[in-house]
Amino acid sequence: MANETKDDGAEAFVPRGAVAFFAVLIGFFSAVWLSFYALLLHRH
Amino acid sequence: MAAIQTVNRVEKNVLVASLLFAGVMVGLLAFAAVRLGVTVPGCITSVKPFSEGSLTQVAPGRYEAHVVAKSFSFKPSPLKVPKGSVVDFYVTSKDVVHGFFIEGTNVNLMALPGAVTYAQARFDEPGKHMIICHEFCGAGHHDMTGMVEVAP
Repeated sequence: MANETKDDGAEAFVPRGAVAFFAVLIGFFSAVWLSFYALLLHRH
Repeated sequence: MAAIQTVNRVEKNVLVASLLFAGVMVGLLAFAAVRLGVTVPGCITSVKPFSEGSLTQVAPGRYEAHVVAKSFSFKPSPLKVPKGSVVDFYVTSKDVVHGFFIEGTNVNLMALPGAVTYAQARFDEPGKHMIICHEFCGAGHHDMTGMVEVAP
């Protein structure tokens, strides 16, 4: 079977999907926030 | 003895990333406010020319009057203009709601704190036109008057 546990211990679980979702979330909100920040500076 | 709970590595990284994200946002705002002087726009009536009373000639026969109503007077007063002038009135209030009525003209405004109201009048005949507050504004309301003096 694939992903069989190794003899020296179970492989640590990493929630790759959640981490990817979090990265996209941060990236998207960063883009939105920075756009408005740039507009604030431009209008100043 | 209580067990010491360790934070999962991924969870720790996510927490650090979140705090960093928030910190960067706050830092950028602080930079804009302190170093660049970016501020929230204030009320229009707290900036010139609306914050102070003035009468300015902008063209031959054309005047701009910025009138500030305050309990219980209008500033500036008297407003002296020559015969035949057209006057743009921009009126606001420093405290409560006042009225702004120039007898003998169509100028009939409210002087509102935080807002600017506008009317225009032409003064063809020499004479005096009383400015009256016609919105009850307190103990001195009945004495709250100003004057437009039209010179020959």
